[in-house]
Amino acid sequence: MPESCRSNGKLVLPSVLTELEKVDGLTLECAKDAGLGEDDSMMVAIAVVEAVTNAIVHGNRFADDKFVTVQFDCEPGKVRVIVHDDGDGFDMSCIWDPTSPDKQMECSGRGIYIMREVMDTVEFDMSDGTTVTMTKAI
Amino acid sequence: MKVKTEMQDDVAVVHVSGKLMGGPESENLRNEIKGLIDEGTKRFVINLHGVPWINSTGLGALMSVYTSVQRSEGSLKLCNVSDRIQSLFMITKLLTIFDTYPTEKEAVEAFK
Repeated sequence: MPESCRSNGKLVLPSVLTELEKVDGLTLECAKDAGLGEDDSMMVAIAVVEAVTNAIVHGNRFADDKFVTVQFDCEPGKVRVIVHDDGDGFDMSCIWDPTSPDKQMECSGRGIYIMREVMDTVEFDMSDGTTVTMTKAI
Repeated sequence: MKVKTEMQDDVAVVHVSGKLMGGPESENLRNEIKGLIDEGTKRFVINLHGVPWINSTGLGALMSVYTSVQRSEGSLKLCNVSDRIQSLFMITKLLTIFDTYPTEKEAVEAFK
């Protein structure tokens, strides 16, 4: 396991989905740098891509003047990623279980479920835009 | 994202390449499948060989075309699904919905 992580830092992105590829690559780099295995690193990348997708689509609604910030705080054995958007937040009571029989065929509503399934912790703060803080440890 | 279809007898094999992550590009896939349904095609294989990963919005696009095919009383199979996409199917329990095959040949032959 490395003693320190080189890939910590902040990324500020325009609200366009083509940025997801960059986010994916940097997340994988960060997770591997923290010493996570290949499967766990892939799970972290899946979760961060979902958080940034939500920030672009539902938070900033593709607005040219709004940005998404992704902050990587890695330490040996643990990854913390914070995703922030400038949107209006959302109603947590409207989040459903997409694996329930009556929702399984829906075309949307899986992002937060996926994040919660693959990360150790997922926390939302909607006091100023939406901030999602996610962690995963070895 | 690129979408290209070839007919193998009565099976439409739809090759998708690039990132399936929602937005206007996913419309290419929806429009391709809709056009084929309108022409009377009932059997579909979507070959995901050129798609290394997708997000939940891309999953939604796949669900959308799956539903369109089902409504037209057709059948849809997927092949060459990457490990990452397979993981996403497992997490979201969509493995029970999508009929997946390791290769295009196996997916096409499954219709016979």
